[in-house]
Amino acid sequence: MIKNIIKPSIGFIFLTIVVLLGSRLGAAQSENTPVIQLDQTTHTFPTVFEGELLSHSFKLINKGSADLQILDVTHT
Amino acid sequence: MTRYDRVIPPGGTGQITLEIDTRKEIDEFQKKAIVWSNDPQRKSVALYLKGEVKPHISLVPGGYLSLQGVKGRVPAEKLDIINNHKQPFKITAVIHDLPDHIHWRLKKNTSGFSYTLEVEDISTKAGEFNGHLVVQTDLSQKPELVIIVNGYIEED
Repeated sequence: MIKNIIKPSIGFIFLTIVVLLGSRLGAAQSENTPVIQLDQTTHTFPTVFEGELLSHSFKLINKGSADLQILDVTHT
Repeated sequence: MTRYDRVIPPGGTGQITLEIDTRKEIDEFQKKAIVWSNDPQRKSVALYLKGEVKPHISLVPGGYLSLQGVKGRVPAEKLDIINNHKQPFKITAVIHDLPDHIHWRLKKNTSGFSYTLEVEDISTKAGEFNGHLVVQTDLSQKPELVIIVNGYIEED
């Protein structure tokens, strides 16, 4: 009878420790990472005549808690 | 050309500016750029720029004329020169390097913003020829157009 009560309790405590450690670890990770967020990833220009210089600025936000570094912008 | 903010602090905003020189584009275009960052969950993000570039003046059906047939009976070829600004314009001169092979006529269409150029073969001998017609206009954005002319003339 006592054994049956103790067994589930040990399991519950173990599970609680695992969950708590996991959440602490997750929190620690998100505390130190940048998160890139862009307001749009596609822009369509209106029709133009040849020879015009087209320019568009994409806005980005760092939603994380560490510096976001843009390492490179490549073209394909 | 590309400009971008290299470091964005937490909660901060930045910009990535992409430029397109439309002298190198024609008709519809799509350009792709990939942004590489230190975000461990999203190390690369693709950005797209789309659009359409119109020529100031269109040559319809194209900037190429081919005169083919038996000497003396070669069908004339035509093309339309259309100002896409939809405004009247003038063709001020037509110059070519095939004086022994072609003769041209220009007709201004009633709208005022297009012309029809007709080119006929006047070769006295069978054979092949290649050359250019240069059309000069008073449109500041497009003062000159080049049309390629090829001929394949057979003996009667």
